[in-house]
Formats: sequence, structure tokens, C-alpha cells
Amino acid sequence: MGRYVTQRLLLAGLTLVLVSIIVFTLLRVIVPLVYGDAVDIIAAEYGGTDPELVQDLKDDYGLSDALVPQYLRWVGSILRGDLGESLFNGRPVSKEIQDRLPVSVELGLVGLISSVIFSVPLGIAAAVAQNRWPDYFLRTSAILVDSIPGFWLAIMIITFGSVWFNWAPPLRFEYLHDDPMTHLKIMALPALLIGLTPSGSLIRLVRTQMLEVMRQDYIRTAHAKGLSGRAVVISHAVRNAILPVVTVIGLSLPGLIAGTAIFESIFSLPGMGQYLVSSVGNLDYPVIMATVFIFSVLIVLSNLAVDISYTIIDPRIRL
Amino acid sequence: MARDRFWENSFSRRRMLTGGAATGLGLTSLGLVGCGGGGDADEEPVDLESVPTADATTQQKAQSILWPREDTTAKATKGEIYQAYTTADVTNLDPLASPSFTANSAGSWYYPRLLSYKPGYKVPAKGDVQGYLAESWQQPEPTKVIFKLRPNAVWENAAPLNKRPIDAEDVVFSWTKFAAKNTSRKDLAKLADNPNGPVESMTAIDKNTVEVKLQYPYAPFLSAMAYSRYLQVMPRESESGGYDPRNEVRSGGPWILSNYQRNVTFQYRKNPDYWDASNVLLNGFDIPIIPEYAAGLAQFRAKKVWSFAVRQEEIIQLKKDLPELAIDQAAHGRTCWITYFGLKPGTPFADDRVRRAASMLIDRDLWIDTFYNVAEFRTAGYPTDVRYHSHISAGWEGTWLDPKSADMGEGKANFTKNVADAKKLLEAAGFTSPIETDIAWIATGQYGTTFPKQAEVIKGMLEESGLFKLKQVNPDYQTDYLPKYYFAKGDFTGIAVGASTAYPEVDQFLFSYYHSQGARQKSSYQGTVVDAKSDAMIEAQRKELDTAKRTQMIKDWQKYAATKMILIPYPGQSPAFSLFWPWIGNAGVFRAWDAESGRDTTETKLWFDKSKYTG
Repeated sequence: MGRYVTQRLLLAGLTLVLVSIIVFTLLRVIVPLVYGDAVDIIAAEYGGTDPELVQDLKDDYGLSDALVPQYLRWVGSILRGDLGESLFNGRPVSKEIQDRLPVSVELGLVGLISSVIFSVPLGIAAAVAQNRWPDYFLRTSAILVDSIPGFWLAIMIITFGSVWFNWAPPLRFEYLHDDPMTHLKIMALPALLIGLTPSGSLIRLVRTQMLEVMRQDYIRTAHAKGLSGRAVVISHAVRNAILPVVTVIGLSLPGLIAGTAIFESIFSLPGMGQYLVSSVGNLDYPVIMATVFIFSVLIVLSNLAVDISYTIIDPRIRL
Repeated sequence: MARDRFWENSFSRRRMLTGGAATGLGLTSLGLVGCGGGGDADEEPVDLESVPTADATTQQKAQSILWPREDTTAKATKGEIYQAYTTADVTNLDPLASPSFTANSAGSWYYPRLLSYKPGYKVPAKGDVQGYLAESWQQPEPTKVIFKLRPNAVWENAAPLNKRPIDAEDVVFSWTKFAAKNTSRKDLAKLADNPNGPVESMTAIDKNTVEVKLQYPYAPFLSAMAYSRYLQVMPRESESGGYDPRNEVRSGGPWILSNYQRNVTFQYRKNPDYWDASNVLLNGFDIPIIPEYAAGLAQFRAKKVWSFAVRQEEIIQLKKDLPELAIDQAAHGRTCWITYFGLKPGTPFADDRVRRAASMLIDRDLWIDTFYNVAEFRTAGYPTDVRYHSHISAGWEGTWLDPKSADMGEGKANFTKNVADAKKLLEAAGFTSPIETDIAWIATGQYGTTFPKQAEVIKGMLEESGLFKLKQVNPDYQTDYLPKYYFAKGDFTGIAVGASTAYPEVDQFLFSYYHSQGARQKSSYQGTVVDAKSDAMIEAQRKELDTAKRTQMIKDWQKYAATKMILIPYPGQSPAFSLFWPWIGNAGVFRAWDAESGRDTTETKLWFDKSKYTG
């Protein structure tokens, strides 16, 4: 177990080093070549494309040095917990992330949990009722949920909520520690809608896995031993069917956290998504590099958590 | 209904453009392609005058539902927070050094200016100025202006200022910073790279006196000192490390920024130390950032937002759905967006006949009807006032010259759709086959969601005749459009459609966009190929202090610009309607010169009328 975890930790560290190189190369080499440079944007806003102005701005922002020292400086800063400052407003990125990451993590986590709470039982129910009307209904519903973009549904809910019930989501964001009730009111709907996105796929995945497991010999043996259907499903089938599902759930979490931008925009929430999107528009390098790196860390950590959870769910993996 | 008329007409134009996949796809992508009607490339242009208006009874009924603009100050009660909204966040909070105008817009809430615009009382403001930070001013010489500051103006009670009086050194500090770092500095400041800038210097004579030296008599100077995108006065401590002006604010105006959450909300509260605080009626404004139109509209319907920029095509229906909503009509806007040309050597657009021909292909009435919903408003009995833009906006009352009037002279023909004459002009210029080139506009939302549709219609109108074959280009706003088109001074290929900056005085628009040395000029390739007559006319009007003479000079320039069609101004406009909830006391009574300039003159007069509140 210890060796397994150590191996995974070393791999995670190596992955992060590679990610940092890729992120830096993309943002500081590729993007300026094919797209543009932040200093060009700032110079253009000042009404000029004067090379001297551009050079001055590069000097101001520490972008004149060779790329390797810039990269090493950036990595060194990250290791010291300093993620740099926004080129456009000078705010420390680490402070912004400290304020915003909890909002996005909460949205993603609550969304995922609600998705799992609904999808896993429904997937199991669909498998148990294979080729009967509950199965058809659930499969159709799952495809429907898959087909509806979450942001569209959010806008529909808000629009018709205001037309029919004179209702609209709260406008003033409150943090959990300041006003838990208001916070809950603000976060519930977007979190549920975020959770809806992976629900369709999850229902179908659970159903497929369950059906595969239910055809195994040991399930037949369990039935032959006289166990009730419920006991067979819960004690024998679910645990074995759940392994690939855990993988998907684990890997969905960073995506859900990173993919909250549109919901943050619709519901006026101060999360990471809006921060990243607004920074991309300005090519605000320090912000983009830091947020992409943070998301990468989340993905690596999720992978690590999934790997470790395998050893708990399936003891054979420890061997 | 009215909106569909362009697309109905474009049915036949689609047939002509079967080779133009981009256009066909573009029209279809809007989901507005009509399925009837027709005509061909030589069809008669739409005449909005011929659109039937409602009968007298319907008109009277529509007029009666317009907001009465009743002055209720006498019965106003103080307190309450206005529930407003905005669609975008600011880049940072420093109006003098931010690379974006958004900081000026926010700054107008808390940083004072020397002067302010007098609000119109139940009628549109005229752009006259009144004191703000300056208690009085005098102009002893045409090139010297002296401002006396209010002795009782103080900064917000927050460290490190703690109610320090606002003094002349703050003004001079702000001017120095403006001249060095502001994106609009070249509109005003005389600099090494901007020798035509009118303002030479600002000097503190004593604690409360500022002297401004002008390079030449500059007619719009006082107006410029009232404009929120120019000189907002900041405390000098903002530079010396007292606080970080990019992320913090110290107010010297009527409102304090009490809470700001990036991408989420602004909250302004009444500044108790403002010199005129006793006349500020509301306690503040909550301004959440709601970028999604649908989300904002829902908040408005649910009465959580008190006023909302409802799209013109939805006004009539929403008023029917929610009859208790108040409806008011704005004055004509004073911005005129533009279709402009690449002027590289060898371009066909260096020849004014080509530019004039392009202008003659625009069906202005149809375009205005499409985007201002004129026919529908007119049919429903709402008042409309359709005007074409000349080379300045139709909203510049007094100085605007109506392109449809005989006063426009020979240039009038260039504002009239006439495919046959356009064809003759192009043939005379040596173009017997369609001119093939690019047409660029941004497809993203920086200029609003309607803008890409407007640009697409202009492209369609240019191509409809078969005289132009255009390839659509949608550059990225920040990295491509701004440096490679908007600020490129003609150094691009083809045609571009874009927005223009709002100015407080028509001179700044003329100089910035049409003078060969203007910061945003679209008239001269890199400032080298100069239309000396136009430049001279622009320079002369800004130095003329006699208002009547100056007005005539600006009209003369418009006549000249029309004959050259330096660029193609947007077709025109009709005053927009706005909807709001009726508990906003004094709404529409005190009318600001522009939205940002009214924080100290109109927002301070609004109040919450609880007797009408139904939220």
C-alpha cells in the first residue's frame, strides 16, 4: 500500500513539473507567436503600437528576460506560494484564488455529490429493471439530460421563474461563513445544475456496469444460495460495478470545478471560472498560468485520490 | 415584423450571392432569413416616411403611457438603496492610468472633476457646464483659465486621507498623471508626440487655485473638464503609496465604493463628507454585474433590478406583459459608429468615388428600421424621430447637418441609396468588375450583442448590388482588431466596421477620427496622405470661440466630409425607449448629458418612492 501510494505521489510530482513546462511554453511562447501578447493589448488600449512603449511595458512586467530565467522565476515563486500579480490590476493572484477557489470547489463538489446521489440509484434501478418501462424511461431521461446544455437550462429556469413566479436568484453573494442561509440559497441552484451535466452519462454508465456484473457467475451463485434480490444487488453487484464509476466520478470533479464559468456568469458568483475567462480575454499571463496550474494540480490530485480509492474498493490492486 | 423586412428583401439578394457561402451562412445563422417578399438589386429603397403611423387615438394612448417626468423632490424621503446593475466588470479602479475606459466609468462615482454638466430639467441636457470641484472659474485670456476650488471639498474619511481637503496640488497631480498615462491624453495634452494638444500646462497658484494654460484658444475646453473620461481628480497619496488606486478607492464625490467583489458586484454608499451630502436623497446603489441579458431581464421582471436596458424589439411586448412598468424615451444618442477603409497605397478606397459608391449602396431607412424597430413603434403609436447620421452623430443638436436636407449640398446624394449611380462612380474610377476585398468586424460582445448583426447587414447591403464581393473577417478584439484595424491609421486591407468613442463635445470626435493627427483617425494613411482642407477646417473650428460661427464651421465641414465620404457613418438612429419600475422618484426629470457624468447631478436627485413599490 505504502509503495503504491509513494509511486503515485512521485508520478504526480513529475506530472506537475511537465504541466508547468507545457503551461509556460503555451502561454509565453506559442500564444504570443500565433495570437498576441498582453503588452500589445495594453499598448493598443493606450492608442499606440509604438515599439518603445511595448518594450517599456515588457520591462515593467518582467517579460524582457530570456524564457528560461522567466520560467525558473515563475516556478520558484510558485514553490514559495507566490503566484504573481495580475498585469492589469496588480492584485496578487494567490489572494484572488484563495477567495475564489472555495466557491468553485463548492459548486463542483456539491454538483458532483448531488449528481452521484441521483445517478447511482437510478442507474442501478435501470439495470435491475432491464428492458422494462422504468429502464426505458430512465435511459430516455438520461439521454435527454445529456442533450440539454446546463447553461441553457439555467437561463430557462431563471426566465420562466421570473415570468411565472416572479422569482429570480439572489443577486448579492454571501460567503458561507458570513451568512450560511443566504449562501445556501445562492449556491443550491447552480450547484444542482452543474451536477446535472454528468448525470445522464453516469446513469448510463452505472446501468451498463451493473448489467455486466449481474451476468457474472458469483451473482448467479448468490441467487442460488437464496439471497434476496436486494441483498445480491447491494452486497455483491454494486461494489464490483462501482470501480469504473468511481474513476469517472473522480475525474469529473476537476472538470466540474473548472467548467463553472458560465454558471458563475449567469448567477453572478465570484468563482475561478470567471476569473480565468476574464483573464484569458486580456491575456493576463500570471493569472492564466496560475489558474491553469491550479486546475492541473486539482486534476492530478483527483487522479491520485481515485488511484488510492481503488486499493480500498478492490483489495486485489494492493498486490 | 419590421426587423424581418431586411431579411425578407435579402431573399432575392441571397439568390444573387449563391457564390458567397459566408454571407449565406451568416444570414442563416441569425435565424432571420425571410421566406417571402423579394425585389432585386435595383429595388426601390425602403422609405420609412411611408410606414403607416397609428391613428390619432392610438397615438394619444401611446403618448399617455409615457412616463410623465414629474418632479417629486418636494415629497421625497431620504434613504434606501437603488437596485441597479451593470454588464461588465472594470479592468482596474484607476481612471487615470487604466488601459480601459471601464475604470473611468466606475471612477465617475467617486472621483470628482473640476466641472460637471448641467442636467436638463425634463428635457435633454445641452452640454452646458457648472461647477463641481471648482466653485468658480474665469478666462482672463483666451488661452488661460483659472479655477477656484471649493474650500469645503474633502476626501473620504479613510486612511491615509482622513478628510483632508481636496486642493490644487491634487488637481495638478491628476493632470500630470492623465497627461502621462491616460488613454485619452492625446485628446487634450500637448506632448512631444502630440504637438496639437490644446492644454499646455496646469499649475497650482495657491491651495485653492489652479491655472490652466492653453496652447491656443480651445472652444471645448470647459466641456472637456466636465467629462468623466478625461480629468478625474485623484488624491496625490494614490501615487505615493498611501493606497493602491488600482484596487482601492478614496472618494471625493457623492458616493463611496463601500464594497467591490470582482466579477460580482459594486456597492456605492452616500459619502457623508461630500460637500453637498445634505442634498443626496438615496443612501446608495447596489450594482451587481449581470453579463447575461436573459438573467438580467429575469431580475428586472422579478423587481430585483429597478431599471434595465430592455432590447428595443422587446419593449412593446414587455410593457404589455407588465403594464405597471414605466416607459420613457431617451434623447438622441451622440455616438456615431463607423464603416471605415484601409488606406494602404494602391487601395481602391483611396479614391473618393469608390467610398461614395459604397455609401450609396446602404439603404439607411431599412437599416434604421431593422435595428430601432421604428415601424413597429410607429404602428403602435409611439413617438419616433428617425435621423440619418452625417459624419457626426445625429444627436449633436444644433451642429448636426441633416443629410436628407438640401443644406447638405452635393454630398446629400452620397447618403441616398442609388445603385445605378454607384455603379457609374465605380466605372469612372476604373472598376468594371466587383471589388473583391475583406470586411472586418468583431464577432464577440465588446460592442454589444446587436453589433455583429448590424455589421453583417452593412456587408449584405454592400454586396447586394454585385459591386462588391466581400470576405468576412472576424478579428479578435484585443489582439487583432484594436491594433490592426482600429488604431492602425488606415494600415489594413479592405473595410472595417466598428464602434467609436463617446465624446462630450463634437470637436474631440472630429479631431480624433478625422484629423490626420488624431489618435483614432480613419482619414489618412499613417498620417502621411493628408486632406489638408479637412484638417484645416477641423483645426479652425476648435479655435473659434464664437458659438454661432463655430457651429457654421462644423456644418461646413460636414458638407465637405459628405462629398469625400471619408468614411461611412452608421446609417442613423431613432431615440430609444427605456423601461423601469415606477418607484424611482424623479426618474427622467433631471437628465444627464451622458450616463457617466450624472453621478453628482442626476443620481443624487433620485429617490425611492415607497408608495409605488410593489416588489
